[in-house]
Amino acid sequence: MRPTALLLARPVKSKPKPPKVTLSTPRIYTSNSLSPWYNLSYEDWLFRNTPVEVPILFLYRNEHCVVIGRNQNPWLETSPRLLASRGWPLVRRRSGGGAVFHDPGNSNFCMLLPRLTFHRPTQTTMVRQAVQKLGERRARENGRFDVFVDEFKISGSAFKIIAERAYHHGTMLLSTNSELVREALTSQFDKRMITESILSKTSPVMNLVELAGWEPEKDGEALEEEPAIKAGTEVESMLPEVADPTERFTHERFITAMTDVWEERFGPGEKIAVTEEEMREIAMVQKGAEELSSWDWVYGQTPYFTLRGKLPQPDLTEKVEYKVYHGVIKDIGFPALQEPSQDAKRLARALVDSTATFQEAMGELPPSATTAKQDDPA
Amino acid sequence: MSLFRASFVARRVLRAPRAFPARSWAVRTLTTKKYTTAHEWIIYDDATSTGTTGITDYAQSSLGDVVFVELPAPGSELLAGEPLGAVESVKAASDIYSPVSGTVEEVNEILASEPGLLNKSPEERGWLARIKMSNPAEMDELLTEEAYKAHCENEEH
Repeated sequence: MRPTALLLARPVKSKPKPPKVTLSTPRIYTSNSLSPWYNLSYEDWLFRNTPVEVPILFLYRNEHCVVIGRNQNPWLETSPRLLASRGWPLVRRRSGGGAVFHDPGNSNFCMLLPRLTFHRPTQTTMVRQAVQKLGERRARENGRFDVFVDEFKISGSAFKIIAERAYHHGTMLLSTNSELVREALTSQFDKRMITESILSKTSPVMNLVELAGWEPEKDGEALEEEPAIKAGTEVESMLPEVADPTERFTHERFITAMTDVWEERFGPGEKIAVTEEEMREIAMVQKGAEELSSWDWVYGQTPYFTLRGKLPQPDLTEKVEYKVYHGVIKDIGFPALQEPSQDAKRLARALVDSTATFQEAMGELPPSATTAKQDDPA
Repeated sequence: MSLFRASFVARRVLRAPRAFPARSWAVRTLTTKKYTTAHEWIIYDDATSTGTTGITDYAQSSLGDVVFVELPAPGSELLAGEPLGAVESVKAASDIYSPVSGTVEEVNEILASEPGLLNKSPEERGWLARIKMSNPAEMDELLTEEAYKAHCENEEH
């Protein structure tokens, strides 16, 4: 009889093991679309409809938008109102992790692999090597599968795992406007919300073009830590040197660098350029894009949370606590020792479970209420 | 109708290689545990036609620290192989599929505030949901403990 302790005896962190699966010719897909809906929907389609044994690299860019993780709260990670005023879409992706800002200065990569071949540290190394090939030799990895140059994050990652396959996707800040990153990823509710949803880990960001002209300060303690942040193994081959940073860190060169890394690992690949028109013609991609942009997915998938604030009517001063499940207000509580007015009670009743969405209700909040102090309403 | 189904399955279970004490049969508390290739387990209670499901120890160890668990609302209708919920661990979102069809009777509320229970006790205290099964015969389609272990070993080497 087989030992029963088999599963328990297994080490939690296993080393990369030689994959049992036989991989077939790798493919490198590039998209000409700047639509986050179509690119993400196509990514999901590749994930579920191409043969598992094909190692796929998919490279794309999106127009200005904020992309949050599968289990995040949009009101906590960004400001839907600000995004609406800028015309930037809010997107909830299917993978885990935190919120990111995209613009065409950011390149996205997605590495789709059989679950048995999937190994996050190895893939992170590949991304770091691509950055080094472009000419930024200081790039290094951290333990969260991100890529940094000194203290600045240039690439973040997230993962999706299904029964037989997994993907590792992420961002690469080539020339993204880092001011907009900070602006877009600011919440007006963060001090007043209680939630179990996934919280983003904020890091200072700078794009690769900016970093090209940036040197760490020579004095101070940072220099002492130098050995701990060294880049690791050098890459075998570099892309041709380009003097001007704005021409060194382009999407096209990033595609070349990632393709090189992919082919160095999996062998010569098949290159496929996909247009948005071709994506639209695939019924499942079209359906997926519509689903991704639906209210039920973007807001309706928000994990349960509570929010302290006021009712969305300027003359009502009562402090209240909203309980919100899947983007719908399920209860509005008044703190003890406070007798709410009839108007407040009536409005509270109307808001609970009503068709008026939480977003619409919150959009009416006077600006002063959004900077409410943290004092306990009870 | 449901009584008939339950006893039908119970007899099949009795014929399965696992031996049960005769008195269990007498008080009708027969339970059987099965697995899926997607690393879920389910314990079926013949007396109530209810299955309790969760993820296996193998699954939790490959996921790493679970930081979020999303479960269906009680009353939700599930189909075997369709999403039951989702877990998130170190930036990885993983789907959990329902091993069987039926109606969600109860979910493990503790997981909302203590998702790490999935790592600590995946096959006991970290159970995910209790499902009133609409077709208990689906249990026959799932893997036995031995078959599941063989499946994991295959993944391992």
